[in-house]
Amino acid sequence: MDNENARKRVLIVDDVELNRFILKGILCADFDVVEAESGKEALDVLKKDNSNIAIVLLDIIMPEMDGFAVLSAMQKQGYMNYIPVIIISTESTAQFVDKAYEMGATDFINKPYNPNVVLHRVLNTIKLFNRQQTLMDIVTEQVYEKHRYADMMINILSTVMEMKNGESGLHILHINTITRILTENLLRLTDKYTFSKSDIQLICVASSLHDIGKIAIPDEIINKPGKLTNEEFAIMKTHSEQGAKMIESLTEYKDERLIKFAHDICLYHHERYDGKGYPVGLKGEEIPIWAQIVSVADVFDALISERVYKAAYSPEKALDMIIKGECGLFNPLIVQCLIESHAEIVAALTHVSAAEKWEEKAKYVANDVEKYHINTFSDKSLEFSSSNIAKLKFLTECSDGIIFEYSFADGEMIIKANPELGVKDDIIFDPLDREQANKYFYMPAYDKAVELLHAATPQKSEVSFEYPRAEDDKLIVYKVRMKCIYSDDRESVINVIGKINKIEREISQ
Amino acid sequence: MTVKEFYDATGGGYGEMFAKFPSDAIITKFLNIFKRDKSFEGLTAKLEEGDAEGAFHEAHTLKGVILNLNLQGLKDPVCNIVEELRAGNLASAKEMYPQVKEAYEITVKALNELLP
Repeated sequence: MDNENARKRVLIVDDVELNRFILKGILCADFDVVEAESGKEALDVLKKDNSNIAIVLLDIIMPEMDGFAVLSAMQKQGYMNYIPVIIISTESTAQFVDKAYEMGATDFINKPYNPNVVLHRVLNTIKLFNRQQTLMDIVTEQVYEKHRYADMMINILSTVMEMKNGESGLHILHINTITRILTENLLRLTDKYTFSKSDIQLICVASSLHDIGKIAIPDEIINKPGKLTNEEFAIMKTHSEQGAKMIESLTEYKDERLIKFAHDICLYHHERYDGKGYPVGLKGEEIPIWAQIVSVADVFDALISERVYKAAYSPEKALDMIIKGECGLFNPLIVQCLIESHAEIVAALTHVSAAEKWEEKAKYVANDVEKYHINTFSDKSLEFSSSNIAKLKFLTECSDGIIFEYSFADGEMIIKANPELGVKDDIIFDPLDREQANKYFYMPAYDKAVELLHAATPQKSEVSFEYPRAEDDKLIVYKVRMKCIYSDDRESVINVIGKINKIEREISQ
Repeated sequence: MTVKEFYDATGGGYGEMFAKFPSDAIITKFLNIFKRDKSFEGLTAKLEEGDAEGAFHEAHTLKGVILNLNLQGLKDPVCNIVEELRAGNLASAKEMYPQVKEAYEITVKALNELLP
């Protein structure tokens, strides 16, 4: 017999001993057989052992609880989803058979039993059910994988974005979460808009791309700590259209809903309900609702987060500012949603399985970084906190030169090997010991570096200087760039990373 | 008495039964369990009580057993009474009862000879 079914368990439910005995005789060579004399007993067995029962053979006409009542109880308990039921009955009237099928029975076997028929019906039913189950598992798995990969790609992209614009690493995840909560609340609050579950999912994914256009904005403007000039702000504002253009250029996917959402969100997330936003100045419902939702999410998260140019506001203060229209006017319905759900949002944001998602995201970025031979250095703990992102960002920009890192925890300085520049192996030493430092550094430059680092702050964590030295007939200019890496709470410096570039000039110049 | 002789004495059906369960030992086991079956007594009691629905269930159970054992001598009388009881015709079912009883007693008598 089929090995696949070798020791599966069959439950036979019949009040008549002889009928159970005959069935058991037919099946016991290939199955473990469990018997129940009544409907109630059958449900007891299922309650205890449902995960092991491969099939139920069920008589209908039984005293007290009949087979139909058993079917209906099995349906309520959800057993019918994974346990096939074959009706074994003397009854064969159409009405009776119809009712049994209607109630979810898989098959029907009439008395008198033909052993061969019984055995093969049971075997085939189990086989079909198993195959169907396997197929369902495969489909579920694939749908899950598809979402996971889509998520992963978006996460990689958003991490790149964050490296570019130096925002807190969690902004994109926050926007995602806030967008989801606002959208779900909006659907509860009004029936003006209808989204399917998959639409909500797509809008959340698309929200991750809202600032993608910033890629096209020069770094000097994106990372400028002070206020932007009017001219700079005008350039900054083009990121909406730049983002929309990038999305539009994906002509291959132009009919996808995700693309439609992402395009609108990129283009319109700075529009305001009263028409005073940019770039188009759309008003009210002219702004697609998904872009309206993301604009509220974006502003709320910006307010409650710390930025280079501002401290974090409390959620209550942020809510108040939005209600008062201090950040422009929004759709009153969405503001209402925010009022109702801001506590939920704040709770979700602190929970945003930040660590988990972030780490996963970071792993992929880390792999990429490794692939491009950009040194990530600290192999001790590559947990992707904002400090690691800051480090990665710095190192990404330092593709040349000699790179060094000082770790306060270890009290060690590492100068990374770079054979092209004359450093054969990693050099590890204690730079606070001047004698050791003197071996590798030109001490006046060393002192200058220490002085500058002492003056660094979380807001201005990067310092740089140059020092010239005459060597033979050449003038060598060493350019040093360093960055303090702060702990996630920004309380203390945990690392200093830096690079030294050597520029040779003829003395005559 | 052999199993075949039992079937012959009660109205036939051995050939078909043996085709499905080709072992006298197995069929004997089935018949042994049939000896303990109480659905005929149940039918008798329910008919006396005038409980048509109860009588239907008992007759129905008896029918299942008869079919499974392929007892041809009992098949028609039992099937007939089941249909009458399904339709709720208690009176005509009672009229049919003696035929069931007669066939059943023949069967029990032979069964006691086969399995004393």
